[in-house]
Amino acid sequence: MGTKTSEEGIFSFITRIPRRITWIILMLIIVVSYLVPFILPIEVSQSTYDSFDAVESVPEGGYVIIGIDTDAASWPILGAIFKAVNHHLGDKDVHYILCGITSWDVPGISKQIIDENDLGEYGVDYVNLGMLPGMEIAVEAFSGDLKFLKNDYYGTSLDELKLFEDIQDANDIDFIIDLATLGAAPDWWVAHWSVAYGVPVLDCTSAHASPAAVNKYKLGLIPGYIAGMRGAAEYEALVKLPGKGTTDMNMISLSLTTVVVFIVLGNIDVLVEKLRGEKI
Amino acid sequence: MSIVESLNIYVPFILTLFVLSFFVYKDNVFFRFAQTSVIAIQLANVTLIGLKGIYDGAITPLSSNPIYIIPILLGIPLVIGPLWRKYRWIQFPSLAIVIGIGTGLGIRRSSELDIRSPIKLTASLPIIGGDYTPFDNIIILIATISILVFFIFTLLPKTKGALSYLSDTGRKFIMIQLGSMFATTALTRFTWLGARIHFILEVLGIL
Repeated sequence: MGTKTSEEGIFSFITRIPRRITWIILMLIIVVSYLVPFILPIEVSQSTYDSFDAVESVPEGGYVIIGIDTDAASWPILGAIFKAVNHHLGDKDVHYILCGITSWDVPGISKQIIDENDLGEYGVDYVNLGMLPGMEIAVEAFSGDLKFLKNDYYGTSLDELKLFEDIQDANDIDFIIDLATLGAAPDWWVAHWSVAYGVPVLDCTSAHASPAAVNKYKLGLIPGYIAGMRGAAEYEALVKLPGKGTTDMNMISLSLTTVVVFIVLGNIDVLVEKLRGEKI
Repeated sequence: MSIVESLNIYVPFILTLFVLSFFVYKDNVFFRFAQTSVIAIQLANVTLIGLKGIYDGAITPLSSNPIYIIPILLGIPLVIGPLWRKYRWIQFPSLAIVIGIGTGLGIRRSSELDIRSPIKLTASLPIIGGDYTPFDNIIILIATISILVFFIFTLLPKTKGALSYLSDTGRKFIMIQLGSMFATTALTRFTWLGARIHFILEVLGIL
């Protein structure tokens, strides 16, 4: 990294550690965090409290759309969030409509949602529509006619499914859970469902996509958002179901602390060299 | 355990090890194999889902509503246009319709999400009171004005004096935002790495 001109700085060994050693140290720390379980205190943020209240307000037997707008890589995060939210909705006997707008991984992820969670009977308690083709146009068309796609993902006509007997358009939908890390899907749901029809949208997202969710939350366009593994851990704490979010937060805390220590030591070294008047 | 179940576990396990070999060793043939395999699988997946979208969204409803022949006819030039250089203009009318509808919907969305709501919220923030502390409110005020100045006056050649300080401040606020985005991205990447290591430990029977 730096070019040394005289004696080494006190932490200059940091800059000489090969990249692969750094990675191995980090991976070992991740392994240790999984093998040695410990509980760190979780402080629940206001947005997660508000998300909890929004989910609480879903009526008994209501209709909930699950927007799958994430890639497979982010599923460990959003899967943990969904598991906690689904647990919360468990007593309400809600009906789920699974669909995706921006993700090509919808078939795999929807299968995983169905396999890992008890959603009830297919066609009665939940329906899988697969990917709605047309991006933003599809979100708008879907709000006006829930049966704009004539068949579900498996090719069954929507007219034959009991779940669609009493619902026609966005006015009949009570809540949207958008599991989103890709593109502008949450914006589309908010603009064409929330602003136009007043359907609340819960933005469940990863940490890197959370700034957009924060904006919408602060603007009052969404009732709340659950961001990243921390959001999952907070929701798990609220519904008293410690799971992947809680254990992974320990891993993230340990590994990121290591990274921060590396950054601080490296910067101290650079600072010391600068104060000595050495050329960096 | 059936063969399919075994493949579902051991193929991702081996591909994960191949990918991690890049970090703990260096670029190698195993990493390249995993990389190209993922790209190929994703391409196949995208093609199949795209074709299914055309079938479900246009061909299936055609039997009950003949008007669906219009999007199908408009879609054909979009497929053959790029392949036929001399007559690629045939795709332009279809593209114009797609872009026109997209722009129309986008304006409707942006007017609320990107224009009206942010302006309303920022303009209605009091210095004292509201959801934030007075310090936060002052920071928001300075950040909003300075970032606006940065974007509006950046291209003026000789911006000097107070305006240049304000523009510089705006640039620093943008850098803070970009730094925060980088940090959240790192956080997500660590979660992904953790998920793969968790998967390896599970397959090995350690967890």
